[in-house]
Amino acid sequence: MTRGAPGGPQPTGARAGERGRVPVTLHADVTVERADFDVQVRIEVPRGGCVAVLGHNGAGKSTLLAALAGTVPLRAGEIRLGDRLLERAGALHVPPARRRVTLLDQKPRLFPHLTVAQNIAFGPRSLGLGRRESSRVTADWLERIGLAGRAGARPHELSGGQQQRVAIARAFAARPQVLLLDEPLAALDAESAPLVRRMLSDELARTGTTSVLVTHELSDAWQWADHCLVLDHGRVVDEASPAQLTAHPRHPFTATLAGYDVVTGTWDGSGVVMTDAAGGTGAVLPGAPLSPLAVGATAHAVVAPRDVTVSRTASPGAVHLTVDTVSTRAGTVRLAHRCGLTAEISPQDALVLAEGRMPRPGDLFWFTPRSVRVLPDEGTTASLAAGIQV
Amino acid sequence: MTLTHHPGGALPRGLYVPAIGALALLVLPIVGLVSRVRWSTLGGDLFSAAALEALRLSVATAACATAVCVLLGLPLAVVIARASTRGAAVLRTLVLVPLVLPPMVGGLALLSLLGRSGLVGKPVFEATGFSLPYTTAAVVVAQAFVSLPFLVITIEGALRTSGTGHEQVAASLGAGPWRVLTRVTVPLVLPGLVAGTVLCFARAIGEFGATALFAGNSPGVTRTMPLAIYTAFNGVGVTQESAVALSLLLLVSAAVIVGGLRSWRQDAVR
Repeated sequence: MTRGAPGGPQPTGARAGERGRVPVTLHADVTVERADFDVQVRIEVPRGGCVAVLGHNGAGKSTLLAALAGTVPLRAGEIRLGDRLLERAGALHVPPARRRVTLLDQKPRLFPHLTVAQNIAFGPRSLGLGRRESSRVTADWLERIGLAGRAGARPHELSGGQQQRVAIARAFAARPQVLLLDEPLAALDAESAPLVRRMLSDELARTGTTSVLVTHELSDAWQWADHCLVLDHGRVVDEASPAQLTAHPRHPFTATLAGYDVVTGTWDGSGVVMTDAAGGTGAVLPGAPLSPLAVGATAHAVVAPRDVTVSRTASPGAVHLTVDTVSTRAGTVRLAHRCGLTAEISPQDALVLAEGRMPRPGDLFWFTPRSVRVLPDEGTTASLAAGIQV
Repeated sequence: MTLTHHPGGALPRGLYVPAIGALALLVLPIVGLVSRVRWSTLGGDLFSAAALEALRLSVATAACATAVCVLLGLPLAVVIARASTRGAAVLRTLVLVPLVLPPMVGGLALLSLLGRSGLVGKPVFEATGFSLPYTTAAVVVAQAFVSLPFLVITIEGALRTSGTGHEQVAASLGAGPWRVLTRVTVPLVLPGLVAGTVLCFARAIGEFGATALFAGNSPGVTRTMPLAIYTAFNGVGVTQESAVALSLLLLVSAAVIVGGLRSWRQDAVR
């Protein structure tokens, strides 16, 4: 677990803004209707913990957050915060304003007509804190985010990073029991992101706020989350700690996220046959399936580019492929076939391979992948279960 | 800014001829009007008792109509902007019809509803003896009827553009629906609200057709500036000189409104 920063600012006792905050556990087992598919997720975040939700665009991540925030209704299931029931489909719906569940997304969404201080005071004032009390909380937060001198500034006078810092202060000043983080750093440039990242980490640790993080970046999950869910078409397809997810992905998307190459084909009993969809060579990538697979079933071969060797001569387990793209990255040469299989080799090896010149698209070599993991395809598993023979 | 600099390359020359024609159609009548103004007697024409009466009545009724429009139209605009796609389409159509309708037809419609023998007017008259048409209140109703769509459509567009992101954040920070509306939604569309209100007032003060039919043309009660101008050319009421002076006043106020709106929008907070 990499949460928090041991060397960072430590809690300064019961500050005005933190009084009465009790970390709580979030339980949600929800089904939300969407135009294209239902989003069906079970998520449990321990008190003060963080669960990351990963997935493609449109996988249902933001819909899940909207359901937790209370802006879209549940079709089935319930949401519970500690011993408080926030929602039970068709029976109970606590409005967003009373949930103590606060949103922080990639856009700061500061109120443009209010000053920086008024933005931060918005939550405390909405919760019924008096003018004096909320300006004390606000002053405290302005100090904490290093913008004490900009209290009277309008949001558009601040830089993007400063705006996001104000948004973070505004979110925490509302003393949320759960913070919903929707790619909170995605819109920041490389210069301002590290500072905002550290601030967010420090505040999450200091306040012990339970959080749900939606992200595309496995590195964000590494930093904050104790547990990850991978969403695809509204369903949880993989679930593990960030470390496990990286080392042993169980879903093609997780594998892509973790930097593996994924080649899709059909299972022939000993390997994945590269069918037309996978580049149409008919070659077989030998590998071990994660779970028993029927012969002929669609399967995904997962390979790390550094585990693929390339040579001019055939050897057991090698596949004969045309190089489609050649690229370089950090002193390595990457040779890729259109099926997705990529070999990462040193420039010296590349020169030897192509007999003194750099490999070019169109060259034909033997690719030997070591340690191929074979994952089943969700759709095929379902059709097999329904008794359809392939 | 120059007229000829165009990032997409030169415009076809033939385009300028009809463009100049359009501009002439819009501007030349105004030039004609201004040429008819007798500047030496302008003060006297404008401040003649009859002209002053029409001016006072116009400003008062248009201000009332605008207030009514803001009170009723802002909530309607919010409802339309946050309605489902289909609901919004239906509501928007209902709002747009009076906008496209000839004002005369609007006046007739108002009479058919609120007149002494109208759908609602008849039972009200029989019960209380009160009849709305041909009163100053009728002028306000007629003006509100024709100008309300301008306000609603302008504000609704602004609401749609500003989206719901800020509102969702505000709610998640603990603000109830009323607080979200008054502290976030309305301030965010303030430029649209001001623009809509100004357009609404401009439309109300120039209203003629619906007022003529529904409220009549009685001096001091329902004879607003546009009606006074019309009447003058029928040889009654204010003099023609006064009519021209009043027209000039309406023209100047229109120019001030358009110019003011432009600079205000440029200064408005983003």
